[in-house]
Amino acid sequence: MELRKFPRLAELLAASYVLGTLQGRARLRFAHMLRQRPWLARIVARWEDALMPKALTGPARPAPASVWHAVQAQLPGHTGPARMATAPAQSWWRASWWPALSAALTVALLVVWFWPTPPQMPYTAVLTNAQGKPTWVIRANAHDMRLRTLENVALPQGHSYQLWALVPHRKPISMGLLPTQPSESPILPAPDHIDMQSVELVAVTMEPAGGSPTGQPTGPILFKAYLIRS
Amino acid sequence: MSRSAEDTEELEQLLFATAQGDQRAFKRFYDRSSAHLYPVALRILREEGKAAECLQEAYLKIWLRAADYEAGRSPLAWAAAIVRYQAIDFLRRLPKDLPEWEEPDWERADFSAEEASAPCARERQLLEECLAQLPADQRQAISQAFYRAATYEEVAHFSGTALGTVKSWIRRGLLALRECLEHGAA
Repeated sequence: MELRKFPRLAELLAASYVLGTLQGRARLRFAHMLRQRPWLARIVARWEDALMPKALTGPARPAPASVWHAVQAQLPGHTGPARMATAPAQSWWRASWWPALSAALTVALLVVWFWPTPPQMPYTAVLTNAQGKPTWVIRANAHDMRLRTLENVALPQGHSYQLWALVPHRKPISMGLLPTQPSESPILPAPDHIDMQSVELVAVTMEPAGGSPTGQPTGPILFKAYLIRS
Repeated sequence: MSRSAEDTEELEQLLFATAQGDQRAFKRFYDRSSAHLYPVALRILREEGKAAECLQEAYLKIWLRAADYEAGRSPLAWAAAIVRYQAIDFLRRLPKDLPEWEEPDWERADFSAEEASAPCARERQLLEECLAQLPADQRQAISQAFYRAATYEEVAHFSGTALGTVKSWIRRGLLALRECLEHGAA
């Protein structure tokens, strides 16, 4: 059914989606339709602008500090809490026990790094660079994914590499921007409403910094790999 | 320029910079918005740990979707919608037998006079004027659905009304609300 021919129904669905009364599979389907129908997204935006001020009533309340730390750890270029630790008051790294601790930490990190991947991530895709070297390794289960970057990757100024999930009969789904330095991401939720089991291929395009402005790939596919079940 | 218009403009610029991958701008956006958005998640999920987890996922979406933000919209309303959808997703995965779930306190959210300093005060005023023009049953059903992110079934259960009646109240109320919002409250 082409919803556009039924403006009253489209209006009601959009309002129910924003209100929250649209539920279950209908809600998921509607969220999916929104991505492909800008006219419908505009109706939803109107309802959001009308109704959300009511959600913003009441006193402000600071969010727990853990929220930002967890968000920041998942931004490109952040590999974990070590990078975002604030400078301690004392120069603890000058302490004499530091070299020993550092060596121990290195061993611990290496153990973690090479430890076999837990069995709950049975899907793997390895993206190689132009020289054929494995560069990005994606592991996933039905709902989560994890990305390991193995090589430094050259990237022209003002651009980002963006990862896409290719599901048969669907438009590419963004899985976020790719790091360009060796790192390992935390376990990330799979992008909205994708069942990772339905992903056939993953692909990388070069996009303007920050990712594709349209939500769909704008550059050619540079690398791609099948997601295989191990 | 009013304080609120300045705030909106600043948040808008921060979102534009975030869309370009500027993490410092994103942090500033977080600093300026999170105390307003945390209560949005908290109100629906009613538990600090869950609300914090919800907010974290919502801000990752804000980061990823900043390019979808369109100039001229309220940046806070745009972000609040993302938080609210995330909270609804969380809520519907939770068991419904939490003790506080039965607490019938959503009447409090119904047109109580809120402080004028809250974000989007002007937009909210129009909404409240339009809601006030609806018949009481439609207005209450919509408010209940909105305040608790309740489904039709839950609104029917809590109001002791037949499901079909609740659906009809909410749908008719939403269409009437649309008319009023477009043409301005009389």
